[in-house]
Amino acid sequence: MALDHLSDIILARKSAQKNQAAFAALVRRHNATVRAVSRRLTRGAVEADDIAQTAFLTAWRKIGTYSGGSFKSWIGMIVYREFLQYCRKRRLEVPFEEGRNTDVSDNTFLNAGHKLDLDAALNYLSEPQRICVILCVATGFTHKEAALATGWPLGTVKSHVNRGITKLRHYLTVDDVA
Amino acid sequence: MTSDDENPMAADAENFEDLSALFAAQDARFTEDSKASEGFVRSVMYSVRENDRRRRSILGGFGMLGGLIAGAQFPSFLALFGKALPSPMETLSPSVTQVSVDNVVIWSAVIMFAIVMGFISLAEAN
Repeated sequence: MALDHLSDIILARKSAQKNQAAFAALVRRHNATVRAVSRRLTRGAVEADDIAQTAFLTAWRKIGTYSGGSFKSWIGMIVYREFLQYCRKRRLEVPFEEGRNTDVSDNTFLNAGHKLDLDAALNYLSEPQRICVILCVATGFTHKEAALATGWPLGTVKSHVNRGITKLRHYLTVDDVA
Repeated sequence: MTSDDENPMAADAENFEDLSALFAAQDARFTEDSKASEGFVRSVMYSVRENDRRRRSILGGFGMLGGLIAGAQFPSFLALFGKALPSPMETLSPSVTQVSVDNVVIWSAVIMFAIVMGFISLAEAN
């Protein structure tokens, strides 16, 4: 693949000139992240790959608007919008406030002190924390970008991320001590 | 100015670099399965080609339709200018306007053009 060594911005510029080979190189480079983010946002729904595919198609149409910076964040923003469309279609709500916490004290598995893997641990966070952690920690959004994508205040995003990572670290390190 | 202000992205990330690395390692598992990864890339590129083909056919189809309508109108326009050219300039503009206002085909073409432009804008916006 002759184009694979080029930087994201150069590939994006070539793609904007309708160079499909350049765009294919971008898809090859970022498909793992995009699919993983989509899978995490949808909690592993079967539609995760469809969302990832639609996101790449939207990226192809709008590649001219990418003006540098992290391509991962740029496409991550598109994936998040596609995820919101998916939620709207299924009338799923993305709650803004913490209130629907998955209360860890209710969970016998965690109380038994078992370690969780990353995805399982993510599912124990409240929905806003889960989304903020996926966007900022897994996808590489800045807090500002996450605030822009979710429409939540910057301070709220920061607080969700901080609480989320604290809980995540706890769930990943809990051991058989109970 | 704090170091956070200087580089907000680094400040955001420094709290959770370890977790980001964990996520990245998990993401990499997708690429390890090169068959699935190649299948996904092929599927995306197929959609991209299909999308471009559909867009080209729509634009080409409407373009040809517009061309046909314009072509059908061309002789009458020539006839109009043939009549209008010898007449004084002050009568030219009203006569051209009158012909356009009365001509259903011209109005249809204008409306069709507006619909097509609207449709294309909508398609491009999505």
